[in-house]
Amino acid sequence: MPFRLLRGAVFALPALFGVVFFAYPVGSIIARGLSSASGDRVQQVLSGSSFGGIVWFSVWQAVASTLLTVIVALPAAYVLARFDIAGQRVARALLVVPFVLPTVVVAGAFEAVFTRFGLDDGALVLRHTPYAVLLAHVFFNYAVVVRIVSTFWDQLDQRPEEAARVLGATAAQTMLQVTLPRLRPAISSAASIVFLFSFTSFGVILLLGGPRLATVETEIWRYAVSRTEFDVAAALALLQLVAVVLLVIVTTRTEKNRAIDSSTVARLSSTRPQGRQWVLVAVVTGSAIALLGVPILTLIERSLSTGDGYGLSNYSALADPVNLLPVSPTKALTNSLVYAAIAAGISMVVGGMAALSMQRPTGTGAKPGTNRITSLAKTGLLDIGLTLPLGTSAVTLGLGILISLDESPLDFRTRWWIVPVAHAIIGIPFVLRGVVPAIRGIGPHLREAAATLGASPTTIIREIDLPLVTRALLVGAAFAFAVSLGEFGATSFVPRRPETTTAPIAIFRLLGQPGDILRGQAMALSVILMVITALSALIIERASGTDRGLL
Amino acid sequence: MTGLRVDGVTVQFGATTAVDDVSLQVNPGEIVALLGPSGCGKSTLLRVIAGLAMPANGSVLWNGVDLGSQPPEARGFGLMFQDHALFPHRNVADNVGFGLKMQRKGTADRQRRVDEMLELVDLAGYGPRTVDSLSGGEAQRVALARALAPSPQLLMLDEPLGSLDRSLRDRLAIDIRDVLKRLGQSAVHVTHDQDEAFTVADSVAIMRAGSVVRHGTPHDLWNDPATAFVADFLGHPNILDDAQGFGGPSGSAVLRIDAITFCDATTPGAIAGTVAAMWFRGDHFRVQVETTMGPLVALSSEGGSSASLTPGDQVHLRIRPDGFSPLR
Repeated sequence: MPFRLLRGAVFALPALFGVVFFAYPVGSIIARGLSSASGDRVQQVLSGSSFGGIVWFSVWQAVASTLLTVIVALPAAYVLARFDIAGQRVARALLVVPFVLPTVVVAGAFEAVFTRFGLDDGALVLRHTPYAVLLAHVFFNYAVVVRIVSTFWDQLDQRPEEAARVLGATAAQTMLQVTLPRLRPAISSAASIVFLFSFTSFGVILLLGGPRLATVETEIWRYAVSRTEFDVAAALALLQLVAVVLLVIVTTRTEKNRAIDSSTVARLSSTRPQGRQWVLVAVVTGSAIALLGVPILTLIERSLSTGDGYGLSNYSALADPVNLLPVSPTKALTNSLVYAAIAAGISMVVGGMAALSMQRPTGTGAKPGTNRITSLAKTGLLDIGLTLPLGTSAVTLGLGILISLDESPLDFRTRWWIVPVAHAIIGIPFVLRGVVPAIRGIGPHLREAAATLGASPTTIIREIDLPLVTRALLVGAAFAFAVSLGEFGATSFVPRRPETTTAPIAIFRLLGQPGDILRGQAMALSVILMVITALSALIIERASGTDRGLL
Repeated sequence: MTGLRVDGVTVQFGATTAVDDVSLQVNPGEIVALLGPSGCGKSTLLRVIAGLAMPANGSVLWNGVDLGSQPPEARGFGLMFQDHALFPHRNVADNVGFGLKMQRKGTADRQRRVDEMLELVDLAGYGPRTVDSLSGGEAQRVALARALAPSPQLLMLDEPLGSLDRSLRDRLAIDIRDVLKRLGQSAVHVTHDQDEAFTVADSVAIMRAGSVVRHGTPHDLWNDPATAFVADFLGHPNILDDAQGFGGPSGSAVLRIDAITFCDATTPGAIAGTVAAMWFRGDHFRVQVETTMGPLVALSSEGGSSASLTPGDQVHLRIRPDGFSPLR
């Protein structure tokens, strides 16, 4: 029966893909990490005094980034949730732009700010300090907290607040004693996401932290790529993996709390701000522009600066070969666009197939029993296998590919296509996140109606399921495209053939070198990458409509 | 041409038996209603007939041929759902034409048939409309047109009017019967509403806890419900433990409300009683009368005169002897 075969393929392809390009590499890290953990060299590194400092900084910077982001973003969440201001929707949409920007672009933007405003040497130095890292993390994650908390806040029943006011509480008391405790699920959910991102942050720390700052994540890279001590790198990655998986478990639990607590009753419409409230609105808007707008604008300004004025020379120089790059920046950009398109395509096909086979088994004649159980196990397996990459840092994935896909028949790590495939592994969970709910939302009656009208199971997939999930599928693909375009962590591990250099790698190399001309080109390339990712983010925002969108 | 035959069908969900050894016959051109309270297994039986669920035991035959494990799309049966299940990504015409497309009918044929069907359900010109723009009643008609368009051998309707309000239900029930009869369509109509079953169907099968307890014409069922469950489910108010005192047979019996009339004290055989309660029902009153043999509910449509009754009034009732039907 052809449908059986098709169904088999729909399950087998994503499963095979996940096993070869994710489970096997990560499994190799675990195996190698475990076997090398007792070795002398690994013991020597782990017990070294500098390693304690690295772990301490990894945790410390993540905690500080999280606290700072929450403190800075909460007032903005309040303003967005409670007030009705012109341009609010546009502001909400624009907020996600920093979130999707490539890490190297953000690093480039802050470098631009530091050099432009003399923060690289002088009385106040931010460049290559932990503060630079914290600033960049707040820049990235501001939208996470604002969007998650404001959406929750917006749907919160206002009557407890009103009851508190009627019982004699002042506005401030109500905020502290009623509202904030009620917002806790959303705040802790957002905070754990920010913590996770900051803890696994890689490009920002490598570029903005300078040579002296290191986290576990950057150490993995240093041992693997600069020193080719794979045993040490694997042991560190295993450590990191355990920590991150624990974090993800905590995160998903708080996510569940958020879902339960956001049940909505009698919410009031937002009002226009009055009197002193305008001051708050102005402060929030001003600080958001300062935090998010200044780096972006400075980046653009620097990219146009030619030393003695403004012009496009940095951009036109992108086509020329650069000594320290194997290809011209334009070629790197072309590579990135091609890889991003391929990664988006793979994510869409593999993610779409995985989502289809994750469908709850509805009984077209299915007898309850063994069938049901195996298919449940099957969907569970796929679910885990394909969503786990969210909890695995890009660096871990890159290291896994580096140490595992090096032998026939899986000698893939030097193939050009391993780059888009690695990006697809990172992109697939984003496709699943949109498509799985969309497929589950198709009521069984639609399929049954089609069946009684003469549609075979294959036809039902083509005529009913696919058209109804197209939008979610395309949104997921656009997301995968944006992620691939800026991907740095995993790509930096894959031993590239020179001609496969991507734009983020090129920016990283250019930024790492002294010299105004090269920095100018890095800025110009960053601006181009920024414009493309920002456009895809805005398209995703628009296409997802009233759904959750990016965050 | 022997139509549909359901033969000893049993369906089990784990330990519970949803359908228990049900047999049923639907003759060609006949509309059979499956009537029963929610959870009685009527929708499950429908899904078995459609091929959407498989029975643990028994078989479904069409014109004498066992359909076995034939998948739904191969049976040529139509099914109409309570929630319409219209495809949200297709307009009205594409919804109605879906089954024809599955039959690989050409565009021109399809177009003609779609127009014909839309006209049949009184929605001519609705083809280009989106599904979202339809009212509940319109969506229901589109669902009917869609189910009928491929000329199914048998049409199944699963609570087709369940989501509509009362007045629309009454009107659409009449329309559905009219359309089905005009096409000579064999149909199985699942509902929990006795009025709807009586309006639409030629014969009614009453289901209870997975079994068909009675199958007959609406007229037969009403006049001879046979069991207290059926009598109660059909809405008979006078189910008597012993009918002899009222002039009926000995033992339990149902007394049809239309066989009780108000009369004078002088009428021969008049039974005296006191009005205990009254319920206004629009075009009539229901009056509960306490007699020495027990309470009776009578119908009064005499407008002014009966509206002047009040609880506590003395009245006399006459009972036609043919109004009794013994219960088994």
